[in-house]
Amino acid sequence: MDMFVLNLLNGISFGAILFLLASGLTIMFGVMGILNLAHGALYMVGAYLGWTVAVKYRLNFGLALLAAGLTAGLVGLAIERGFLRHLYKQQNEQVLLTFGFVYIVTNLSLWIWGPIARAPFTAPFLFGSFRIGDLAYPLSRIAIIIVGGLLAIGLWWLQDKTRIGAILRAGMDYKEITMALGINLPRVSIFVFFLAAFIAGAAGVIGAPLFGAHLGIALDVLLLAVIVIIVGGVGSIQGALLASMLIGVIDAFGKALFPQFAMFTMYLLMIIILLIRPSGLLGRRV
Amino acid sequence: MWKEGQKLKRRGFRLTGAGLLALLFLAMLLIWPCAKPAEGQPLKIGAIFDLTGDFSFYGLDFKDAVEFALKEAGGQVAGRPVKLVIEDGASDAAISLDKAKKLVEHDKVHIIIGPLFSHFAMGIAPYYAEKKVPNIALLLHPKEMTKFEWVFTANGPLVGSGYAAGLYAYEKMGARTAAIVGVDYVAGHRIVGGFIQAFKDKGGKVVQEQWAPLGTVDYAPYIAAIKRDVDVIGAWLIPQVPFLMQYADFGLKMPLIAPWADLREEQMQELGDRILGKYGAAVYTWLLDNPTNKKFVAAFEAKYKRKPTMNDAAGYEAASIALAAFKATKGDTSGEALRKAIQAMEIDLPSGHVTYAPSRFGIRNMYIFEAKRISGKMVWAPVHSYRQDPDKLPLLPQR
Repeated sequence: MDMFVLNLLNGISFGAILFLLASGLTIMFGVMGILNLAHGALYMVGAYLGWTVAVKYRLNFGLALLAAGLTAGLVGLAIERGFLRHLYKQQNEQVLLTFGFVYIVTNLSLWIWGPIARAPFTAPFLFGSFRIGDLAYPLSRIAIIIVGGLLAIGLWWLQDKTRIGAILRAGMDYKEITMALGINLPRVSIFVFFLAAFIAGAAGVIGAPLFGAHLGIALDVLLLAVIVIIVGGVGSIQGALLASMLIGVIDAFGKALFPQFAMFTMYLLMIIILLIRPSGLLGRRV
Repeated sequence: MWKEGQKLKRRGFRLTGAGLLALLFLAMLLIWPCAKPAEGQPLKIGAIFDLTGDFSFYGLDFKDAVEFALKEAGGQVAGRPVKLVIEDGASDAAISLDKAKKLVEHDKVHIIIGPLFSHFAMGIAPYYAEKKVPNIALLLHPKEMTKFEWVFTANGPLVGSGYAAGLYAYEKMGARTAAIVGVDYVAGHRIVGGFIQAFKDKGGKVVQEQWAPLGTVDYAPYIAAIKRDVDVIGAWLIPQVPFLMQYADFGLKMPLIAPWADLREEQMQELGDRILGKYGAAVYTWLLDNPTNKKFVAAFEAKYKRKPTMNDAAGYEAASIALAAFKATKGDTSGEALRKAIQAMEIDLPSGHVTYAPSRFGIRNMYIFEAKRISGKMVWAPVHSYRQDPDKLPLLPQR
């Protein structure tokens, strides 16, 4: 019973990070049609910046979170306004461009922070574990679950209960009609892009207890996010949530029960989903 | 589009251009400075360090330490100047091999230090044998390295540190049951395998083995699965720090020993109280109490304003062995003479007194450390040592 609970919590906390990553990526793709391969690099920038603020200078963890999100948001915005904007509707070029930015951002990070990987870190008030009887579970991971949950609620509220959310949903399905109704879709898109990038950067700090910060993380984390949006369905935030929880829990139990297949469980799931429902669990039917 | 005459003119230009370039290239080949091996020429030590790429944090330490060793020797030995040529292996096997070839054939070095990683080094070892250049290893190598007669590994085989950790866990920590978590690649299987072997040899039981892929950062599944009722945990992962952090975060209290304690100073501080009271086996800590080390630590700290790490010591010791070899042959720089000199060497290094066994691994001390807080800083404090004869250590089965 203990093992079951531990693995379940591991799975949910890993899933929460996956959701943080995938939600931004899927919004960008769904709303703006941009597959931003630099999304993982934004996560990395957030993680490194969070490390600098929280670990190197020992400042407030909330400040680290904010700084990480803002920096990633600005970097993302710069990429969009400066470059992606000019490649409207040219998907191949967008992919190449954002991939190129992965290398640029990674090497800039190497320049600024050096080659040494930064160990997982978290806020001092989250050190230690939460005990229920015999069971102990890291506070930092419980915090991840809570934050992930809050974000999920926040994004759902944004999508379902606000005007911007309505514009987003309309813009995803009927771009021309939305614009014809006099709505400034490009302006909304920029806001959305910034939001998605902000979430990616903040995810770098929230996910820090699991991943730390190192140069390879830009692509590692991108791969995870892409798998989630494939399984969940592109453009669907609910899909991203479902997929990330599914993948997180299956990955945790997979590693515990079949450790030899530790590296495969996630991909196996993705392949099965692609065979049965190519558009993803909650994606729009292509 | 081009008129006939212009076409010929363009072709003429192209031919002349190509010809000039070829001449230039030829000239470069002829006048490119190539070292000539002759008497009175400087003694040359070549080194392949990973200065860029994934393992660059090792390379940069080694580079500092080797340069420090040379400077300490006054840049000369037995009356002749010593020249150091460092090349960047870039954390890549093919590039390391290329650099080895460059060092041997172009720079005509007499001894080569590195590369660090066993799988790179094993790829280059046949080349060293062919060219008769002795190779001094930086840290540990698998026992199979003994089949390469030109590679010398003073720090011993990989199985050695794990074996010492296993002995210590049974003999001194009083453990009778153990669970291990190891990194799932060759070095992990040898080092942690050494722990398992020693523990079993003494009569203990290893009740659980978990192997995590190289580069795993999130060890939660493994930590969740560790059997809670064992006497000791033997754990070595790459990366090690996240494991130790998560071990503490999950509230695990079982005693732990790392069969290879390769944490750097800043990592020790990052871990802080989370590794207090944990043990590790390794070849060096700046707290080792012998005259050679005391002198080394003082001089190193004076120059670099920090205490030397195991990597620093490894680089320094490799260079020291090279310099001692030059001294022993009294200026004879032939490969055979140097090789004989290294094989016969008895030397006092910061990590203790070292000689070479016939297998070309070092007969030396393997230390057990405990993580303690001294003057506010986390350090590896030596608590025990084993005199290690590499030829008496088991050759572990291939996994």
